[in-house]
Amino acid sequence: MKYYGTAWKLFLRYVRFWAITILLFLVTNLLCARMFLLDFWLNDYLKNCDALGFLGLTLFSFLGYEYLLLPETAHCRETITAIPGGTWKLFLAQLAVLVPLAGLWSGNILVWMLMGFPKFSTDLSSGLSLCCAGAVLDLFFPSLIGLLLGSILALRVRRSTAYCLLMIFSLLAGPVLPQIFKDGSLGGFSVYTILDWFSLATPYSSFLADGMYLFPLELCRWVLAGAWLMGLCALGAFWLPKAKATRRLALLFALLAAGLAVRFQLRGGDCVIRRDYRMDGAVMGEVRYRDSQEQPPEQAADFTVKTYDLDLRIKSSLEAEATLTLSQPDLNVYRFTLYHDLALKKVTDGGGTPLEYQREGDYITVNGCGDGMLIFHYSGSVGKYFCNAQAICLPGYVPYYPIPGHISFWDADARCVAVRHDQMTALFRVRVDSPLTVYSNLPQTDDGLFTGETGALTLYAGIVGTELKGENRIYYPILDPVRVENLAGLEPVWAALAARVGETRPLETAGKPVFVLPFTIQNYVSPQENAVVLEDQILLFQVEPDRICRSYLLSLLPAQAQKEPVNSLYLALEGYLSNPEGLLGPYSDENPPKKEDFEILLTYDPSSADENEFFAWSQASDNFRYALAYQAEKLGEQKVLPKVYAYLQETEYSQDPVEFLFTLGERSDD
Amino acid sequence: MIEVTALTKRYGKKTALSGAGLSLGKGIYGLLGPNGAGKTTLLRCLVGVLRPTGGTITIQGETGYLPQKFGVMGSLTAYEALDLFAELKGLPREARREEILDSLARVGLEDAEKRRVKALSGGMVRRLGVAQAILGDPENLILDEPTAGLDPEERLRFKNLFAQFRGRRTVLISTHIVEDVESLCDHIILMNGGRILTVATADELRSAAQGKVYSVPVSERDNLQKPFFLLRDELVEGQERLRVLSDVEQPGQRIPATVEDGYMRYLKGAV
Repeated sequence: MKYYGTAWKLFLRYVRFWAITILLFLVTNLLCARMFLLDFWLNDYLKNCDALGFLGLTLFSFLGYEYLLLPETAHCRETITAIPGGTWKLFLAQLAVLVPLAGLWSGNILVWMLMGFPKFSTDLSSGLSLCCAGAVLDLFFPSLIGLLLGSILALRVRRSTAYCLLMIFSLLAGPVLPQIFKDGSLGGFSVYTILDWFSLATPYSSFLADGMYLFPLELCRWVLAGAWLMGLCALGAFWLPKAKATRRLALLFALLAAGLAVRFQLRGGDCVIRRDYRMDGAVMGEVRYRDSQEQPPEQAADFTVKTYDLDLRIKSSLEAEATLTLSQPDLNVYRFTLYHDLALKKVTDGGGTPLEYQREGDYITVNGCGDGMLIFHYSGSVGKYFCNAQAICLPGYVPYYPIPGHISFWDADARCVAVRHDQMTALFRVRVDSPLTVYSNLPQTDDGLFTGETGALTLYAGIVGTELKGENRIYYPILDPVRVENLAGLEPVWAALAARVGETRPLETAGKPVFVLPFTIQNYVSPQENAVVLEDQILLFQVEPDRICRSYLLSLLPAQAQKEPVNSLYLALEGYLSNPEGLLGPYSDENPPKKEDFEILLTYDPSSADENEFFAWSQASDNFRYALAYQAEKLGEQKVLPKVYAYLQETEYSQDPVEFLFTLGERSDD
Repeated sequence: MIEVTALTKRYGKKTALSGAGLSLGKGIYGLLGPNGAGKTTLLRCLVGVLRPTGGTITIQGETGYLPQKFGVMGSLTAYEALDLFAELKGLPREARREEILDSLARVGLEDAEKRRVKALSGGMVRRLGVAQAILGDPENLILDEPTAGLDPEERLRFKNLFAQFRGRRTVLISTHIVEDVESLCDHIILMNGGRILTVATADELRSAAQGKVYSVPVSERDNLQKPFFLLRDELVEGQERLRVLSDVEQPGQRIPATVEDGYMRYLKGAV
């Protein structure tokens, strides 16, 4: 570009331009160096580097404005406009100075990111492409959009107005507002309706990125960046001196921007932007949805599924066709459970004839099946569980394919996911169409094809690695701090824990694949979900033998142990076991726990709006484990824990949990 | 050559130009009119800075333009500033240096080649503006008040410079200063209220007021016959007299009309 030299000359002749640039690079490198030295985990380090996009967006917008305003402040805009094409030529030449600077700045941060891999002893190839894509989407594009916005405002808008607009833009695109309006609500209005359109830099959320997913790089985020770029190009072409060609160009850009904006508006489930604190998001939305739904009663299936033939297409979300062969083809109704966000398009018999069905949340009731075969066509996303082109984390206990019976996936009392351990085994043939390398608990028989028998099909893909430890193959997010070697200590820990409570069943882990789940799906996790030991696989968040064994132990207790009011003792046992020091809290021999302090655990009504009652219940609930610890201290843990464990395994409770705990001393010699 | 037909420019409800028509061949044209007459709007439409609301503009050849308020980035040297405009005008690189130095010399800035623009005086910056306008030797030159704020010597220099273009280029100069127009321009375009009143020579303007200008003693002020237009108070041979424009006989004596009188005659209509 022949005007490039003069544009550079202009840039360098003004101290304020290169001073801002040097400052930007200096601050960026200092921040990166600080994170490089202080961050403990590679995932955090990469995420923090990536979040600097907001800095680029803000500073480049002001730099773009000031630099492009130069013809105006120097009073030569009119002279340049009078030269045919003069404004265009100078505008593009000036942009040609700033765009490489934005690229250089993004590249600078990318180098810091890549330097993190050897520092944290992680294979660079595992995250190279994602880091590069993240640098483009979260660093370069925001900078480009910022400088384009600033540059275009410089064509028409006075400095005071432009500065106000740029500051508002930075505020909307920055991390402050999502932190202020965490739940996304402002007097009933969802602020994310607006904020999503400005989430150009990395969206703020602690739920977003983990070592499996790294940066949110979904298609919709590229579409949003594209819409902004095209929109700004249209505005630029519209505001610059017009010729027929530029009018056509402006129209073309505007049409493209509008198309991309519509695509963004229809982003649906391909969007991890929703994985933040908003009340209708993928995380909090689940709780809100469940709280607002009347939980229908569970009903066991009176049939079994002999075979599952699953065709799963996982791109921006899940697109599935599930063909089920049933054991009893002559029933009038067939009950299934399928995650509520998966939109069921139709249910047909084996010949393709549509069948009538009713849906109520997770529960589906199909009327008849004709030839003993049912085909479910459905699509969508699966709440907090990853299911797109960037990562797949679909644990087998999540009903993302039709499960026989109306089985609750949600524990309404504990407000968390209920893990099923009693799955019916079936023969699976699963074809997964995904750009990722997919792992499963089933053996892979062909490219993208998994075949075998299981009660819970788990699919797993993303930035994941695999390692063979003893008899277990472990699949884990490479960039998360996973201590794979800890798995070796599982057996002795289980033996000790089982002995404490009098459990005799073994913890069988031999040969089971172990899937380490990413930490961002731990929100509203149940104690059992911390570590799920199934017939043919283990799913857990941390390879910590204590936690795995505890979760497994709790999973052996019947479901009614988690219902109020027995739930208080269940939680007290869980709290006691997870606290090896056996802290007594406020209790001592001088101040022993009093039974009447815990009566509220039996009488509290969760629907009550009385705040004082709630706090009293909450306090009593917290102290109940200290009461258990006190009893264990006083009467001896070896006597107390087996009795509590046995009590929780009862199918019908002879005493309420408070009475039970406070009469343990009287029964200690039984 | 510049051809303008039925040129109109509106800003909302306000009409800045109303059906202006012009046909300018080679020569120097002075655009004369009071503030708000639409002169600058007309020039801006001609050079493409403003988009007309209606009408057509046909310009043959390239146009050099000096806006009313000319400036350039102060950190550039005079040479670099012209180099920027030369680049934007698309002057070939090999001829550019010679062209720039020539332009600087023609406006008397040959010694300021390496001086920063911010170190130049207001008059020198104005001359630099003219230098950029004549860069590339354009067919047409459009200059919006090129002599405004200049001292007499600089004004003279400009007049000499523009005189060089007589008969070779189409030069349109907007100004308030009637004296400049009279001495320099072949044709005078009178504008008022967004309309072009007339295109005339200096002699034709004088003729329009000939026999209608009176020099009246101040003591006769009360005896002036309406309608009349008081051009100004002036000192004639040490005596204060009134210069009056009127179609009716006035006390005092008839005096020869000037271009300015003719200009006022057109501006005020019959008086």
